[in-house]
Amino acid sequence: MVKVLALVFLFGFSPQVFAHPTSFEGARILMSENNSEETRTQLLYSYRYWLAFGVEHQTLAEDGSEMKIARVNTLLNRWLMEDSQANIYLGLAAGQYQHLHHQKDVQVVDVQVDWESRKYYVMLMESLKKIDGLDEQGASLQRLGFAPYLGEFKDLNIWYILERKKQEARPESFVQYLRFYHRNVLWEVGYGPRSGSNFNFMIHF
Amino acid sequence: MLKKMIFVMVGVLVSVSAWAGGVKTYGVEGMVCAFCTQGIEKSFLKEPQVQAVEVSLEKKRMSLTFKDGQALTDAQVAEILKKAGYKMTALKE
Repeated sequence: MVKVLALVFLFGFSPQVFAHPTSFEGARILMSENNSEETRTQLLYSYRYWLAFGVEHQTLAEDGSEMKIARVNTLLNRWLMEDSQANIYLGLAAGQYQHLHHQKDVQVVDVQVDWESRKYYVMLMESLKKIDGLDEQGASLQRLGFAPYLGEFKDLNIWYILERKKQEARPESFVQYLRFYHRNVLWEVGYGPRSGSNFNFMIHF
Repeated sequence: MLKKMIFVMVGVLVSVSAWAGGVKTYGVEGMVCAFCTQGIEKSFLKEPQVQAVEVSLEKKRMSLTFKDGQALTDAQVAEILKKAGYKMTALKE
């Protein structure tokens, strides 16, 4: 039991942040984040452009622990400007954390703020996770991106993204990504000294 | 009487054809990414009056091609854009 607790604190779970938490009304969103430390998959339905709900599954490679949660994301506000937009989102999730034969309730809350134009992108996220019987665990994530050229909807768009993650009791980590997106499909390939190769993708359908 | 009826019918036909069908272009604010575009496109393609949607991120505008004899008012277009999370704005040249 002590070993389980130690592993949770040592490795934790990082927030999933590489895409908008809600989408257009009626959109179904499948997204996945994969690296040597963890795998995370989310399936969401955007009931309104400001409200989405779905399920999420996360596993940690080091100890095989996993988390299965139901999630609700809401767009608290959007600021529309001529050449950019800014958003603030709130995410709430609850479910089960499991390691070996131990199962505990888990709740997650996260707040995400972003600003983007056709050329630049900034995102900040703060996340708090509470596993039953354990102290709360916080995590933060920041992303900066830019597009070397401006593409239209039908073009292949390419971005450079730099990501920084910081979880309690763990050193900060950096990952550099190339993001590609074409129409309704987005994928990212990246590398970080700690997480190794990263591959993320998202599909709206 | 007959002449009057014909005159009224021609007037109605002319006004309907002037109103309906064809292409209309609108300015859109805050549209900065491909997923924004997809959302707007899908929102309007759900409307029975709309035949096609063309969106330009560079020009910050969208064009709706309406089916023959059909149209949406500006107020209806603004409402659909609002439900998609965007705002209609003046066209910029």
